[in-house]
Amino acid sequence: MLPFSYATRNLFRSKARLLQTIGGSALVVLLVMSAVAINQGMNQVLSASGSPHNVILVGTGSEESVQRSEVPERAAGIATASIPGISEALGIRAVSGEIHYMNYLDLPGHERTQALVRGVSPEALRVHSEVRMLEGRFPRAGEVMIGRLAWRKLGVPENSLRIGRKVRLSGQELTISGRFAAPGTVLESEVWATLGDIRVLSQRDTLSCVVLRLDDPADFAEADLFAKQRLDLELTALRESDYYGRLSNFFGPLRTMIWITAGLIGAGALFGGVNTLYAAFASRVREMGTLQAIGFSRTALVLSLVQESTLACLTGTLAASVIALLFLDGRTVPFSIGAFTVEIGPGVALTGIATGLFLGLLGALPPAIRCLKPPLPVALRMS
Amino acid sequence: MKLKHTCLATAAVVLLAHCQKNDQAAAPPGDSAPAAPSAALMTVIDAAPSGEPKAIHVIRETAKPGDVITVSGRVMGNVSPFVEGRSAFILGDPEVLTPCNENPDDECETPWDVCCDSAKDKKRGTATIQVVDADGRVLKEGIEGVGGIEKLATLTIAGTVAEGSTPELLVINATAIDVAP
Repeated sequence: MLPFSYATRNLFRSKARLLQTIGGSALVVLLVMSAVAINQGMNQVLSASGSPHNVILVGTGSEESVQRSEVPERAAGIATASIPGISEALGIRAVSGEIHYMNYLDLPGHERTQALVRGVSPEALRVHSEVRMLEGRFPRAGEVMIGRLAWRKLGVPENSLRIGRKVRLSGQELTISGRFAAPGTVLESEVWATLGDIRVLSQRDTLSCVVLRLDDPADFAEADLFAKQRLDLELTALRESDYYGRLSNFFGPLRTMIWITAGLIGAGALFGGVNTLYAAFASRVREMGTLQAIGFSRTALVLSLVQESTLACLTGTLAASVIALLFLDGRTVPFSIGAFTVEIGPGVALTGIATGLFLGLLGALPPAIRCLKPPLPVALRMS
Repeated sequence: MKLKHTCLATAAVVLLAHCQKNDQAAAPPGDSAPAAPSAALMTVIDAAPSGEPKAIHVIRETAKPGDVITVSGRVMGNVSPFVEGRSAFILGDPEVLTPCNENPDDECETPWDVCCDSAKDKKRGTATIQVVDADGRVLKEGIEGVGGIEKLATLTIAGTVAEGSTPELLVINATAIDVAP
């Protein structure tokens, strides 16, 4: 075996080539880490948004989109009275009639942007138990409360959504009365207003959905039975977790596109890196021949070349990990129904290291084999 | 030689027994065979409906709670016509509703949702069928697959019109269900 120091010393023979290899591998690793982190973030926010305890009653035929759904106003009251197993506190059952309204929101001094506004009553807090008031209060007529990450979804500075500021929705000026959090869910990218205000502004006399919270998720059958016994109301009962699961599938092509883009750029960088190694190893054919002549086996030489390449690629992985931690970790990324936070966790870091190792091991093998292919007399005569 | 064969045969039997044991242990509890239908449900499935069956859109105009009726139709009218874990399902009226795959050039994957028919027709041509216990509560067991009751199966059902039924809302407590071959 060749000593490890032979590999480390060789790394610095051409600083330009070393930087090229490190840069190329860093780019590939960074792209893979970004793709994994974005996919994980989107999946996590969608899976965390749906509680297995919650059931959504939507209009039949609108199972894919709550915004399109129409549910008669009286359905909330009938469901409250008819479905057993609904959570109850202080004699009030956890049933929330809601209107999900997508429209442009005008903020003074900023471009108008599309926002998801949820028209709710205070009962919404019983159903969406993850919602916590951070400051201010629940909105009254003429007011809205803003999710913690709504600024990111709306593309405005965070301080432009302070309590007391005005926003304009469908020509109506509304005052921000509070700020809320709903950690890890799409809810905290939303704007909440009173059901009455949104009913008027959206000019509709139906609800988008009725959300109810069950003590035991197994009681979903009772909600399903209610929906199928009351065919006159034209309702479909969905587990909230299933609804967001379907949304996650809906965003599947988007995630595939992220992977394809990362794959294409990564492939370019990978081939560039392999090309660099071909050039680097090709200039050392005589050196390899000499080492074989003094007794080192071809396997030992391949291992040494792989060591060199793996060291360079792992250095690139280290650089990519530092960049990911500094510039990606904790960033919020907006998408059509909310925003999610990118986290560089242990899973993402391990994927990055595995990619670096893969590049180092497999990227070095073809050039190394080519470098050691010529017979010894030919190799010793090569310039 | 004979001893060698005996040893090999014994080893094979032990290995086979071990594999079978592992297979049994590896099977998740949820994958076990579904519980057999209860006697209450089987009584309804085994009973033969009497009387001339009528279409849903005809019955709903005249039926009043407590009336004994016989109705015919197909399991359809919703993307999931069966209630999960309960003996209830939606029956559709073939005179009003058409499974989408029976329309020319339609290869709908969920024809039982009758998505090609209007909401008005769905309202007019569907009824809820349920099997209840002595206290009037819907049985807490699924009915899908029992006695051949599947999506789009043609059924003749005898029963009584449930309390609260109106011309807009027809719910039938089944006492006999016959599945057409």
